[in-house]
Amino acid sequence: MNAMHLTLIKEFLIHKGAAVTEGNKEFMVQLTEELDRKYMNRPYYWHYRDATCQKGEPARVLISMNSSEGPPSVDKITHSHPVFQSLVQSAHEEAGFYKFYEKPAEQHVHVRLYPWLFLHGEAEFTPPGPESIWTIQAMSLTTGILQSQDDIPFKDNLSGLIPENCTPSTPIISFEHAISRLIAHTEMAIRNKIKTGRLEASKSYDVHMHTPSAGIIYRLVP
Amino acid sequence: MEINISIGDKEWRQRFFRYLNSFCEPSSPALTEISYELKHTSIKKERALSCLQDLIDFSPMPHQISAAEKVLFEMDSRAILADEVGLGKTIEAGLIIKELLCRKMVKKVLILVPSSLAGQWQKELWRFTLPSIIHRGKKEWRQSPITIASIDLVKREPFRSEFQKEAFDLLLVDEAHKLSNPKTLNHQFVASLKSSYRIFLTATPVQNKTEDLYHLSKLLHPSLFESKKDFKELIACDDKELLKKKMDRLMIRSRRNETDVKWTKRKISVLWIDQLPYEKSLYQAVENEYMRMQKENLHSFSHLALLRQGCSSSISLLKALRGEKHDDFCKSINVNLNITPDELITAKAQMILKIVKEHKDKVLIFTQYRATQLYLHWFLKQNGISSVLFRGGFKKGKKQWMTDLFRDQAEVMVATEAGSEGLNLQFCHCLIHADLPWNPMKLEQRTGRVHRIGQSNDVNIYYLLNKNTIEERIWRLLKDKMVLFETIVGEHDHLLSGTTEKDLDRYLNDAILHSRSEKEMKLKLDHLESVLKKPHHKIPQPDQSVGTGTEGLTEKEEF
Repeated sequence: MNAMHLTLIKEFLIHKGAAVTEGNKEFMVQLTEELDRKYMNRPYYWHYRDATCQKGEPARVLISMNSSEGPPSVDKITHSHPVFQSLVQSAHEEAGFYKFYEKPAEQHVHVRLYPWLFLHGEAEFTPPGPESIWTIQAMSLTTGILQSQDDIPFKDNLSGLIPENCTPSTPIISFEHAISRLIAHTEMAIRNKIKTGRLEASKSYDVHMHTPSAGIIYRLVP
Repeated sequence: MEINISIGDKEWRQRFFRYLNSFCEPSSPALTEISYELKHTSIKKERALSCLQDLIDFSPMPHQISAAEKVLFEMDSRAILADEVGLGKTIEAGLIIKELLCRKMVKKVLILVPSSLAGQWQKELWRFTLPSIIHRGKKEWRQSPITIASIDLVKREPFRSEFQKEAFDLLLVDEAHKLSNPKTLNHQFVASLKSSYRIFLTATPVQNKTEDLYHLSKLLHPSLFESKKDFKELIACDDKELLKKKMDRLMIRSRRNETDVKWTKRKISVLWIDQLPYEKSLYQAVENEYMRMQKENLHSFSHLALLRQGCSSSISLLKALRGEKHDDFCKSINVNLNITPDELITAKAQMILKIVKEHKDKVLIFTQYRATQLYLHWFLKQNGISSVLFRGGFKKGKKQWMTDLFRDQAEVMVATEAGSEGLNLQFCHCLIHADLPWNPMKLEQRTGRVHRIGQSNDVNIYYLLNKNTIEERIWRLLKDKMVLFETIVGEHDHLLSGTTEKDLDRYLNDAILHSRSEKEMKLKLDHLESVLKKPHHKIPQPDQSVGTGTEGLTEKEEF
């Protein structure tokens, strides 16, 4: 756990509509009712409110990386708190699938965006020992081209909303077909990256990408 | 080499397909980027524990990390962790569980422990931010990847069938030496459980005989040894390379002197005490009767135990004498058995009081006898010292309560060895052995309660020994044979050389009980020492006479 996990939770909570007051190594958050019901583990409170037709008050909590000496408390959530762990897990799940649009350099000109399917993640070895393999593969849903990518600059030129004067094209290749092809292509890419010299000849290995991240990015190139 | 590659699973594909076809809320580039960065920066390096970066509040010791790495990367997560007492086997196990969970190699973990240690395990796992549940023996409605259960509870119906139906990814057994007998329910129950990975924890994988290790190996690597005969032959064989190779696949054992841990000192004081008049007369009466019986060859081991109880406390000896089996013995000794509480006071109790008052800090006292334990508790109370008791018969909640009381309030804990397994008392820096067990390993187990990782102070250890008693005889002989003592305590892990605790006990008992003279006893212990010094020693059987003492040095020189 490190400070990035704290940022991950903060972005997740902001994305889910919570009001966050920033601090240095901690932040205060006013949860929404949905978040409170899902993460704060107070079913009796919400049951009572629902049964008496009263509006509940979502909790206000401090989320911090500083370890707490005492037992886990309701209003301070540190890295070892189960709620912290659940939030990290949910944030990764939320970010596991995405849909983005590339922003054109000039916003005044009308442009068309073309869908690309992306798949990336860590392939791990069982039995453990060899270094994991990180791979990013993409496929154009317009032309069917398959590409290996070095990086995905999510923040710099991608947006969650369709940029002005942009029109996303409809995919020509069906999602189902595209997913199958992209997975096969990624398996091939992983096989090519495996350093067989580092493996024990007498063993058999399973290389599995447990939770790949995947999504669709509408790009300027078809 | 066969390599199978797979990506996601069927469910993942369906979820992704549903996502692509749905009108979902806009994705957040900031959130996705941080998640991407976190995943990218935490990819598993070659032969490295990735879970270490998740540990914030504590750093495991290098030998613990190295043990966990060996189990995960070389032993296919099936191993016996047999580190010496106090080196942190639980931490090593925690690291292994955390890493396997991080790598998604396990989803369901079962930890079988003695019931008294369940709470402690839960607390230790919490340091790894691993939440777990303790199976309390009712229908469990909670869900958790990690379940801690008492082996004594779940090995019996109705839980036995329930656990046998489940398939666990990782099975971890603490104090695994209790599985070494294949006829026991413990062994049979663990053998019947389904699990992909298995980790056994024990500081003493060999309890009674070397075959114990064979039976443990059957639970971990059934094909490691073809048969018991094969195992025995391998031990008897001069070429130990193959045996070592096989043992390396089965077991990891870290020793104190091999670790980078800066151990605090053990300040040992041996205090010779003159018994008070009544206890002396009682002891001597028993000893005289014992000598008489020895001459007539009517003595037995239980009579020797009386002498040891007499060294522990008068009340312990009196309690034993009042037992049915010592009726005849009791009639033969001419001593007043109806006494006042004042006459029960022993010189050892007075010495303990003095040490406790001088030490002005927590003091842990170990005794073998419950009568002595209760007496010391009462005696200290009479003198304004608060103490708590600790023994095997206590329920786990009471054991935890007693430990908490000792840490927070009481000055003294009076404990028996039974049930003290896994007890962590690093906050205490003073230990008194009110009497001595025969087995030096038990002595080390006792000391290991306070002198273990986490102990920041030097530990004062007091041995209280009565002058002119059996304790003096044993101690003097052992003190003269310090090499022997060190060989037993320090290198007791020559587990495969034929030396076993039981053999050793039997031989020591024989040397002390059946020797017809001091000279014979000395000769027998000399022989034992010379045998233990050999690289692959084997303890002689008591009936393999090593000389009667009358043969003199000629016999000795042959050894």
